[in-house]
Amino acid sequence: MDSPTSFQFPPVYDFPPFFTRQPTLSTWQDQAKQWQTLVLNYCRHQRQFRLTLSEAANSELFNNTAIGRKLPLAAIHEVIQLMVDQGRAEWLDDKKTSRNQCLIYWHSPEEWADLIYQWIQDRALNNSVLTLYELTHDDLSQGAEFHGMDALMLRRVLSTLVSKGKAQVFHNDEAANEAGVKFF
Amino acid sequence: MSRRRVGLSRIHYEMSNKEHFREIGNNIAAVEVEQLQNQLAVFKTNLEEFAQKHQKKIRSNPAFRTQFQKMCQQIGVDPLASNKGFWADLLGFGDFYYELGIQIIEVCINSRHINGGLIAMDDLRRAVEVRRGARAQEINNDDIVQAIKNLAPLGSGFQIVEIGSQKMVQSIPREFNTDQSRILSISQLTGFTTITQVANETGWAPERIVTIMDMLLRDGLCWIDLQHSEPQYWFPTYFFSEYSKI
Repeated sequence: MDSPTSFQFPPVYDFPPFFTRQPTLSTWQDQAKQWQTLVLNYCRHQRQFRLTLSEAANSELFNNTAIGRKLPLAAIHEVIQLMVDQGRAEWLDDKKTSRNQCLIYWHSPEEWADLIYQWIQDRALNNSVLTLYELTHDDLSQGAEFHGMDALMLRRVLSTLVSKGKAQVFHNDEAANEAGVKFF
Repeated sequence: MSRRRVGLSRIHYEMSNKEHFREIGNNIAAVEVEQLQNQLAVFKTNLEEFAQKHQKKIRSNPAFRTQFQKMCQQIGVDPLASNKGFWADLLGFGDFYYELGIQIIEVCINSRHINGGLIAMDDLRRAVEVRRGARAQEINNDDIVQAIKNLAPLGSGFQIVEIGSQKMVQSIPREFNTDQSRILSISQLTGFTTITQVANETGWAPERIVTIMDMLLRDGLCWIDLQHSEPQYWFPTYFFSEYSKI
């Protein structure tokens, strides 16, 4: 799963004006769509569940050093907002003005829930209690796509299973890491 | 000794002569038409025999097909006239160009959001070839031209335009004015241009160039890059020449 192969950027990544927000609406719509696809594919490849925009702006995702072009932060914000609108991202900051962090859903929470539930079924782990840490960061799930999942994202995903009556989460107020989950 | 006819008698004489001549004339004409018709029939038969004999080559060799097309056009036989009948059955032309037309439409429409509805003939042909697969009949640019001609009655609005040294296909009904064509042609080599470059090459005032650039931007034919000392206007149709994945 953790393949060391470097990410294959699409041809448009080498097109200099791709890094300037286009003034023509229809062109921008297409440009933004291509950025969204790129962000999702990139995060999926890098197994990056969370983006900090100010950092990402200087990473290879938004900064093509080979052609000396980078997508301005304001345009990155717009792209992420469009992803949020489509359920492909989620802001982690409450204040609109200082939004800088987000979760990236290359699978939707429902899709993640199905993946995890299926994984549990395949290993007959229903009815055993696992800590959230065990589920995503232990050797147990090594190689699974959800391995290394952001803790907050995991909560979101599990809550969709809880609401379907397929799982129960045991909170531990003193140590969030030790929260547990049981699948039915 | 015959004496000169005068009066009524002369008139009668001349009239009967005229009729006589007309009759002879008509006969000759009829014979000629008949001969011509015979010749044409023979020619058609020969052409059909020729087509039958070289059927494989006409189907598989684009250059040969183009020549054959030209020959047919010159003598007023149109193998594309209908989907039925001898020619279509023999050569499968009707289906061939119909199918090609559909593939051209698909490539043009699917690439429109990238190139703004303007695509180089060679790029279009390559994309169509990918779509057709390795086992399909070989095609050349003349076939693309023919297929686009066949689309005209459907009101497709597809047009072939000459930009600089290249033939390009327009899939959005619009006319380039000479200023736009000039700028498209200036940008052809590098894929982009600047106000300064256009001004140097044309001597136009910057205001005039900005106006044209704005039109090209609005049409989705070019993108602007503001991260350069002078804004650069990039033409995706020159930058992206591979459409194999669309």
